[in-house]
Amino acid sequence: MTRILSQFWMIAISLNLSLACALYHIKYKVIDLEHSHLALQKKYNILSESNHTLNAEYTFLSNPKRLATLAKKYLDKKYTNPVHLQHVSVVKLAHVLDLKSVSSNPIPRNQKVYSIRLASYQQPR
Amino acid sequence: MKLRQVRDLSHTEKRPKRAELSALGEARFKLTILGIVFLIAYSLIAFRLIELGFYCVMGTKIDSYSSPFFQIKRANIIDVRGTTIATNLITASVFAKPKELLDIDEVAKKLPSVLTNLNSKEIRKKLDKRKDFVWLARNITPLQQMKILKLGLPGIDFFQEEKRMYPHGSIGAHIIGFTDVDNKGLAGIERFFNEQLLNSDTVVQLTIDMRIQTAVENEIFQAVKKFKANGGNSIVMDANTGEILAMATFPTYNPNLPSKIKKETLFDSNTLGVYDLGSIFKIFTAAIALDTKKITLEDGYDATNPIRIAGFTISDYLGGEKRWLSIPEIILYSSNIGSAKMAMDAGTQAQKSFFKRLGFFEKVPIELLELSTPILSQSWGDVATMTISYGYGLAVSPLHIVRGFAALVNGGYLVKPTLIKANISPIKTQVISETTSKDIRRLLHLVVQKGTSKKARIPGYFVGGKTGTAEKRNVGGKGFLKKANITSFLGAFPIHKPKYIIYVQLDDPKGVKETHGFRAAGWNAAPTASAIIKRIIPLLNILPEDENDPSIHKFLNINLSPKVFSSSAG
Repeated sequence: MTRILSQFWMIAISLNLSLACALYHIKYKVIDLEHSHLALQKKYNILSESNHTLNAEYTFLSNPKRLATLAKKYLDKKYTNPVHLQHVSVVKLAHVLDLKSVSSNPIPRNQKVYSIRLASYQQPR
Repeated sequence: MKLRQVRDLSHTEKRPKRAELSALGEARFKLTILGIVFLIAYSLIAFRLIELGFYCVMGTKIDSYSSPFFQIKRANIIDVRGTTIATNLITASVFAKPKELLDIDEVAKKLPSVLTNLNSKEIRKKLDKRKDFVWLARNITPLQQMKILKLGLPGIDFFQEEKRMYPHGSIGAHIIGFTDVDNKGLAGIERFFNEQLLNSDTVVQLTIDMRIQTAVENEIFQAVKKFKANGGNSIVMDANTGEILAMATFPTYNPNLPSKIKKETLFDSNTLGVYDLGSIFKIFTAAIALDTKKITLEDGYDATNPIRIAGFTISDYLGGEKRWLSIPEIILYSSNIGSAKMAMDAGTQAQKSFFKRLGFFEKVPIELLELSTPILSQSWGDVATMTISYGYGLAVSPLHIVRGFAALVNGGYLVKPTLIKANISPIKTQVISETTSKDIRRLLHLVVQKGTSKKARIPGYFVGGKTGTAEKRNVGGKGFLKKANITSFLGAFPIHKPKYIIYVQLDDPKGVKETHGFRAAGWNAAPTASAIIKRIIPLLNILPEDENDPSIHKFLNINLSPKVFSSSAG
């Protein structure tokens, strides 16, 4: 009886110890994961903040007023006017797509000249 | 006997030995258990001590890792294409703890080199030793922060704050509004959606397209400069949904610098200003008369002589045509006499009821708080009916007129103007018939082709519209100012299938060389509208159409000669 009891105690204590060790391990694993999570969160925060700031900077740098000023200053470009707009059916596409006429330089012998076929289109109403 | 005693003794001696052995074993076992229990207990204590030691170190590690979550206090505002209009940026604000300062003189001497808006005297005054905390500058730039850090001043520290930024500067300022230093919305969308922007992460998406807004503001600015006007404003609205694509007012302000905003620039002429808009109202008068079936486009009125009523004389601009005019001609030549007679035929009640249906007696339902109520004629009798017919006596805001005009051209449906992009079908109320709407479109096209709005013509596009040149109300006094005008153009394009409404208004434009000294709307507002349409057409992806298209011509064709002349007034 005593032997059985002692064996029981031994098993219980071993189990208890294993459990304590497992818990100890899990606890520190969780702490490690928490650290990783916080580190990732911090990285994410930094990236989000940078993204947010960059988005604002991009919007500022690409705002239409600024682009128009820059285009006027450096490119001598004017605003697109309705006269620049034409329906595709009105544009002489054959001329535009004629590679020989577009390029003033002679086409090398080994270079392929692709023939471009346009899909049929409808005359706009 | 002795032997027996010995035997007995040996017997009694043996028995305790066994018991002793078992007791010893039991004791050993108990001791082992106790030892283990103590071992566990002490191990636990030891573990706990080690753990506490580690935990403290790790705890500090956690603290060093943790940073405030990137959570912006105020949500963004974006335009219809997703471009950021308003956003919050993390900035630093510099403060001082005067009690911890080692040398106030050093701080007062060094800081002005970075904080240029403060001088040594001001800083010294702020750094009162009795105070525990004092702000030195709010929302400084990262460069300034770096420079202050380099100065190495103990007792000077930074506090992380947020600043509302508007990357487009003054573009769309009257719509977007601005916030104060504590992120509280003070005007425009920022004010209307203050709670939502503060309490939710959801961005507010506007119907405004910043490219169109920029183009409109630029053209209005150019027009104000060219025609030496006091100011100008414009609205571009979707005729079928009520979505506002652009709404510009000049002069404007920079919402990034709220402390430098002048009070007068806060006034949004599109929503807060109410004006007698002159001849633009003639198209509404025609709509009333046509819709009540009092007239048809085939009818006409005698505009030979001015109308004299209750001491007033109603005459046409520069004497007018001095003959019978058909309904299209009344609109084409902008005849006050013809309009007044048309309104009298339709009747005061019909006029009142029509304007009520268009929402001209109340504030426009839109997502702004800066709205005005129209000014109505005190006694709406025959005289008022006549004067209102050509735009005097009912002062409305440009937003009112744009909303009403959309109903005239979009098939007769009154839409609710909106600045918020919501993917739901707009609620429409039929206010005039489809037939009347078609007739109105034909009249508007005629005015641009042959009438006062010729300068709004754009080759390849069908534009319809009406100009208005009105005398300015004498603010604070009675009547109107004879030499100051409000000129305006109200149009739609493409007029055979109206998609967009455009309104342009100039405040007191002057006669210049290009206009041969004229200051009527046809010379300034109409060409400004044309310039705006030209700028925004490529952005709206509207392709040119064949100007000789027979089906469009058939739809827009109108007979100028009156067949029947019948009028009670004429």
